[in-house]
Amino acid sequence: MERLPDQLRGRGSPMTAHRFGSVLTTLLDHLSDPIRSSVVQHIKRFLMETANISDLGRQDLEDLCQIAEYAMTQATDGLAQFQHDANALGLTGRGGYSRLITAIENYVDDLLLSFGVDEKEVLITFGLRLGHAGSMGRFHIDIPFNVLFVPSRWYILIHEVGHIAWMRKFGWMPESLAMFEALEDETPYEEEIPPGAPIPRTRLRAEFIRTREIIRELFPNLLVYLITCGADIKKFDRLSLRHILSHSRPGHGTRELLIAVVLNCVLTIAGDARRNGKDWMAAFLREWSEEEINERVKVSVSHVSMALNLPPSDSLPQHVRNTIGNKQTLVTSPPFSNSVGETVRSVLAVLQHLSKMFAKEENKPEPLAYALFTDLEQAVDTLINEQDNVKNWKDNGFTDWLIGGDVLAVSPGAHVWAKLLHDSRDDIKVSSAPAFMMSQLSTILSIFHRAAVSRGNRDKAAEQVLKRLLRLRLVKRKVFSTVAT
Amino acid sequence: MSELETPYTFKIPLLNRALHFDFLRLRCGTEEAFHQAVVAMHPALEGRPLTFVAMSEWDAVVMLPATELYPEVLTRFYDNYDIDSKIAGTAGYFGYLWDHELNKHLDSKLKGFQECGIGLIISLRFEDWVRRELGLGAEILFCDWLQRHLAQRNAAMPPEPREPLSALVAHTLGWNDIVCVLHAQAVEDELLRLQSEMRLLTLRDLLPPDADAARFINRYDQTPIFAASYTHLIGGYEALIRGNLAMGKLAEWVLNARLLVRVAPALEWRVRREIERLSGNEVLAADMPTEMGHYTFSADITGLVKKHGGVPAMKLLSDIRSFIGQESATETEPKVYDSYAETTTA
Repeated sequence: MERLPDQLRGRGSPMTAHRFGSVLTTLLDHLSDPIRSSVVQHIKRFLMETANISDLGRQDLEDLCQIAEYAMTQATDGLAQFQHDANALGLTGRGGYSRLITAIENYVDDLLLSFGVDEKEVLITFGLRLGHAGSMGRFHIDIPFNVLFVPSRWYILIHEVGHIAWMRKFGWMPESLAMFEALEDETPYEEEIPPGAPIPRTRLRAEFIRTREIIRELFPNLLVYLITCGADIKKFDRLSLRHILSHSRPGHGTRELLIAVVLNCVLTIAGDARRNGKDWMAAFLREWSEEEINERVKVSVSHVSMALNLPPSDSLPQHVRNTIGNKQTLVTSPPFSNSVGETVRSVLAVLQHLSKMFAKEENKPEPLAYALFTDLEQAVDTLINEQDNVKNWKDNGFTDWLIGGDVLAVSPGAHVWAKLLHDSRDDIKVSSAPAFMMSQLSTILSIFHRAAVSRGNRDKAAEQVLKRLLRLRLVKRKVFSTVAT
Repeated sequence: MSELETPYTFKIPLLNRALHFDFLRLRCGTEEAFHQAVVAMHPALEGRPLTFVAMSEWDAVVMLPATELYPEVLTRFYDNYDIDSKIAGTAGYFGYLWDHELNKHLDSKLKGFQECGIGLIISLRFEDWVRRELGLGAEILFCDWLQRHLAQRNAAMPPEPREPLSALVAHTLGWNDIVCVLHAQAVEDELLRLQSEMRLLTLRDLLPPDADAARFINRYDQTPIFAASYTHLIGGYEALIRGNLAMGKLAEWVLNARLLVRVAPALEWRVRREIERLSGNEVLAADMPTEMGHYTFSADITGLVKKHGGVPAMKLLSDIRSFIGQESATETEPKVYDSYAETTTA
């Protein structure tokens, strides 16, 4: 216990460190008590064999907290009638986080509404699904606690909303049939593989699954790339490689590395198509020549390799630096580039099949898929265009507002927050500890206020509250020192 | 230019400090050792959590000024065996503060709260309509009201001590909309008045004197704004250990005071008799009603609270907890104190 604070320093968020400390403290407390100790012995054995702190990554620590808390609650359930003073665990026993729930639900509802999903389809849970920065299930979107307290990482919710929006529009389509046909074209049958060919069957299966996974993840990542990163592929690379850059274990990240390069390639194609004008989503699904693909793969490999460059001053431990160095070697190796090329070709082939389903033929009624696809494109464009409304905020010291503790009385939508916070994240991170805390609180409270005063008819209700607050001289208008052109 | 292009912000920003509140159940008899272990964390007061006695279901309150959420010192606090082995249960919350006049001089105020006088921690939750109609504006309105109110009260009092009533107001990301730490020196009876006023505040009370309440929110101007409250009486730890923690003038307002005790069956009558002895036979062992719920028995200590500003009652509380701790701890060294036994003052 004496060494624990030192061991936890710098390993994940301070909140996770505190949570982990609380788990161990609670366990020790149970163990030192004649009644409670008898029911938690198995957890002690589990933690003694598992929890070598120096081997744990950021997500591991969070996952371990979740498992241990859950197991402990389960083990001590029923003791409350005898010992109502049993140590409160984690955050739930520390006054709750109901305002965070309100804020984050509002953030997600905002995005869903933009894609025409106005029913309350999902709840946000925290730390329920392990090993993921974000995930979604039938009834929920799950994020870890270390994302919950850091709004600049709420872009993860945009990704999850992307899944919901896509499924909502196209879940009815027989996507599997078309996709499987395309994938079959790309992956040769076993009998088609010449004898002695160096392609084992397992690899074919892996590529099949991988391509399907990338297709499934494409639209959510497209949203993050366009809305959070402002179509800046370098920024997107940093996000998609984040878990590789922060992981300390050498075995992790190879699979994600390939996906990161493929996404870099396909999203750059999408970004270029959007810059060329209307109907960009259809344009990006069009056929690409072998030459074009090869050229783009080369550029993407180079981009991702550069994104893995660590600044010399970075305080990462040497073993993490070595792991990342190995990843860089891997990404620039010819076999890896070939693998990326194959995967990109598979993905684009499937996208071409999709484009046929979304196409409108001349002199024929507009098919439903075409209309929905157009709606989706318009929704994305609207979100991006609305970000322009506040483009002068950054020039007028948005980061300073946040770290100075300004709370917005009229808060913008989630898509605006996502980009503003992402653009400011580096500046906020290098600022002092109080400044980081202030930025967290300012954002959470701004979004909470909007959620609290909005109700159903959100803009109208919020407008009335604003008028009321103005009359009471509780709010003021920000004065810009410069005028952006 | 749309409203979003030049945003509206609240009239004051957040303070760049926060306050962690943790409520602790201490194992009976460990109070002094607990306080010494906290003091040993850091020689200077700055940088270590501030501990207070709590007269509620909890035994101690820890207040920790912080510049980040979940600061390292909190992890150090709970990962210190000398502290942790004295604790039987914890709960708490993180509180943020507005950079309001009321919250100026945070550190020196907290230090003052710890050194002398007694105080209240009042957690309050707004009615839903308050959050809906005013959002975070309600928090600032409350701070403005309390600032005005305290200024008026202090102005009407003798010149010494200089600021007999003072307060800090925090807000949480969880259930409590307002966490008010009220402190009184020499005018302890004012705490009770303020607490009552606060709990029954209406929107009409809260609005500035020049505002027409009816014009703002017609339906609600006479309705209390708080849905729930929870109050702890707090005092400095060292005064309790020294046996001179006093409730001052607040003691005169106490109509009924009870000490609730939970101990193992084998210890019950020994504790009853010890309370009788410690009270100078003022509270008799046979007159202590048996409790059917969480506690084993209770003792009416109203008479002791009313004497000498409540000092005898506080001393009884401290001594009986030490007695229970000694009687129920293990015989082996270092002693392990029982987490089952507990006391509550009501």
